[in-house]
Amino acid sequence: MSLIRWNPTHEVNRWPSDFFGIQREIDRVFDNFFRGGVQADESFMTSYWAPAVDIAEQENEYIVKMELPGVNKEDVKISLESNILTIKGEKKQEKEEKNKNLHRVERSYGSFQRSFTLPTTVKSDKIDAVFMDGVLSVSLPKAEEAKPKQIEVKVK
Amino acid sequence: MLLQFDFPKTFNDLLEDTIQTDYASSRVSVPAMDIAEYENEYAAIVELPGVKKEDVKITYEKNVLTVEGVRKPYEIPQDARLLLNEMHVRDFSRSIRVPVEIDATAISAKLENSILKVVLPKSQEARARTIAIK
Repeated sequence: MSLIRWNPTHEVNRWPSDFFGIQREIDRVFDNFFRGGVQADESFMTSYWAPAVDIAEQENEYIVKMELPGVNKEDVKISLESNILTIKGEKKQEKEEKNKNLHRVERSYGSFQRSFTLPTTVKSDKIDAVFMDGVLSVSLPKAEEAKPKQIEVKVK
Repeated sequence: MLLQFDFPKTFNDLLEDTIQTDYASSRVSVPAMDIAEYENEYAAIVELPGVKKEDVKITYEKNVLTVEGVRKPYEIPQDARLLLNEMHVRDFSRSIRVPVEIDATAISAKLENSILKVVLPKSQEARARTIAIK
């Protein structure tokens, strides 16, 4: 199996990424309305985030599901190039309203991109995507040659 | 993760049972939440991907707002094999203590594109007012 999770910050920003992850986790647990300190890492969080993905393989197709709450359908782009499926897009922050004071920012905003190398060839013209309740679902039918075949062995 | 084992104790010590979400057992997931304050109201914005409106329950009691519910698993054929599984498809619960008085009868909520927005209007007493100097 050759599924690779694409993570551009992995090498360059490994430590900060983990650090803010823990910070956010702590913030979440100590649930209090007036917790400061979100400003500091907000710019980091807006620069990159990786939505959660499920991938299921069936006999005839792959199903890729991605959690994209608050993302508009028109801001998502799906592409396939030599067996690499890429889903990218942008989650736009709601327009700044007057007299708004943010006490807590846990949601991620900004650009996202994830790529997956599919184990077998798929029919690129038959890829289908549905976006419902904040979950994107992409179905990729396997190419004929990639489907499992039964070979009859004749015993003489 | 080792850190998580220390969370519940510290958490309970600080807030004393006000918030009963059981983070320790991970039976529930904790959805991401933004809190915004406006002149006359607060808004809690919660991300609920894959959740239906009828599966969300919102309660407000003794200054604690709780958003909880069920995220039903999506249908997957029996012969399917999961190659990657990052989504937390399970019940969710999130509680937050509101530090000012809220007009509980006027709380409203809307779920749109998997974003839940709960609007909590401040009570008359809690609203900011300008005081004239005599």
